[in-house]
Formats: sequence, C-alpha cells, structure tokens
Amino acid sequence: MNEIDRDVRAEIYRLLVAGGPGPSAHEIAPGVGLDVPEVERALARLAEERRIALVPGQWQVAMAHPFSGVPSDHLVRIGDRTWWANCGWDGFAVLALLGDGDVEARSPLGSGVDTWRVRDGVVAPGGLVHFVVPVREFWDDIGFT
Amino acid sequence: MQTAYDLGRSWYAGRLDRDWSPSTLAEAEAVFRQQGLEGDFWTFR
Repeated sequence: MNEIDRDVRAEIYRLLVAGGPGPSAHEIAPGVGLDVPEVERALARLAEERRIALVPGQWQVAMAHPFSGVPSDHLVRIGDRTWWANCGWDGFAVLALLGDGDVEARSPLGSGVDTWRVRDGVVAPGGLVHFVVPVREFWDDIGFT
Repeated sequence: MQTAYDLGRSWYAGRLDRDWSPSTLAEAEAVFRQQGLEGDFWTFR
C-alpha cells in the first residue's frame, strides 16, 4: 500500500466507525485532501488488493472488514449507536474493535432475530457460528462468504 | 460464539490503524490455530 492508499483506507474506517453507510469517493475525498478521481484510483487499488470491497459499478465501499457498508443481516449495537457487519464473525469483531455491545442476527430463514451480548469480552448466550466457505475460498465470492 | 469473538479480536487486531498491514498466510493460519481451528478447512494453501 502506498501512502495515498493508507490515507484513503484510514479515512474509510474513520467514516465507518463514525457511523453511516459505506462512504463514496466523494465523501472520502475531503478528509484526505485528494480530488475524487485520485480517491477512485485508490479505491480501485484497495479493492484489487482485497483490502475493501466496492458496491458493483460504484465508487462506494461495500465492505471494509469487519464493517459492512450496506445493510446486512448482522446489526451491531453499542448503546444507541449501530453498525452493519458482514457476518456473525464480523459482528463480534466490530465489538472487539469498538467495545462491549450486542450483535443482532436476523435469520436468513425469516424466523426472527437472535441477540448475543458481549460484556467484558464474554459472549452470552452460547451458540454456533457456521462457516460455510473454506478460508482459502473466502474471496472467491466475498459477498457470499 | 466465544470462539468467534476471540477469533474476531485476533484476526482484526490493529485493523483501524492507518499503518495496518495484512498478515502473511502463515500468520493468518496461526490465528486460526490459536483458537483451535485446524485442518484443511482453515488453511490458505
């Protein structure tokens, strides 16, 4: 990663932690002092290097792991603040990065929402996270993963 | 669930830092092993 890409990547995370959807090139540019085409080129490089994933056909961040830039089935809540995560693992990872809170997982079968609490790094209740994709295939289809 | 949280903590350590760099494949596999996740499913090669 060059210095521009590091700045753009850091700004993406700053904006995601602050809240809101995945930022666009227009939203990233002011924070890094670059023009929009420069940011777009950085986004392309970061996506090519699998540091982020973009919304198809757009200069908008879809994933900056563990954060999702688009609504997902995994909502992370700390107090009255919320973030979207890409999966259950990422939901817990958001809490590991930001502090204790809850992960609310909506069942893909439409059977409701399950909530896990993390307090002082301890998760309750118990349960299972099912990894469907072997790790070497994570990025073959990162949206599915 | 606790394993998933602990894995998230290790896997994403430092991810918000500007100077974060990705792990090597060996380092990444070591993170899984530290959580007891071993075998072909958890290897990158």
